[in-house]
Amino acid sequence: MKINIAPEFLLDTNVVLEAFWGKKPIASKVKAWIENGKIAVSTITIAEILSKASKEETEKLKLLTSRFGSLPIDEPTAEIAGGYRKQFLRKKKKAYLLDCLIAATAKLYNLKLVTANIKDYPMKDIEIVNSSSL
Amino acid sequence: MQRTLYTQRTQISLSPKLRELIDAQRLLWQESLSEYLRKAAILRIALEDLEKQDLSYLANAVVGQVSKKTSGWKNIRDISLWQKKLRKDENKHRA
Repeated sequence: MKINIAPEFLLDTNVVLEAFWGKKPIASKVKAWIENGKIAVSTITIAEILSKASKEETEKLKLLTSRFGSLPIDEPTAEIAGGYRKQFLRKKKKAYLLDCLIAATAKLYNLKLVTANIKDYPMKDIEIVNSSSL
Repeated sequence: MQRTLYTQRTQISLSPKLRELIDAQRLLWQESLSEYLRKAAILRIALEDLEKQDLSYLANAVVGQVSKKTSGWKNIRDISLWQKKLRKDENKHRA
């Protein structure tokens, strides 16, 4: 039974993988977040990891998603992502569509996006946590 | 049950529907409203403890449990760069 556990952090693909590998310091942070039920992942992250994962990594991902599920790319997410993409197409710093979809998921669910690639997320209306400087 | 066990008195508000549901259940067991709600609180605490244990087990089973040597990314040095390139490629396909 799940009780009163609300996610706070959306983990980008690089963060999930580094946590699997035990890379410090992010791994210990992710561990604490899992213990407190604070994490979420996007379906994009699932696809990216499964595109290259070993059997062991696939099993760990399944364990995570069996407990936390995954956040889908649905119409409200797509609408926000489309807005981001349009906004940054006109600027020097572009944002890739997949990054826009991840950022939109964080925005829609009011989550902090944890990533090592902070420069890929120029969005100002979501909180980005730099996994390399935790 | 001894009254002295319960020295903290409190009041709660219930919707008529919830009260109706509780009454239907507690009368089956011939329990007072207070006794029923005390048991509900104890059950909730126990479930939250179980949840914490489950999450702790999950964290230990997942974090730091894959060797990079056997990883699907064993030949990739910089995972952030890999992710960036992957998304850049996807972007090109969509352009």
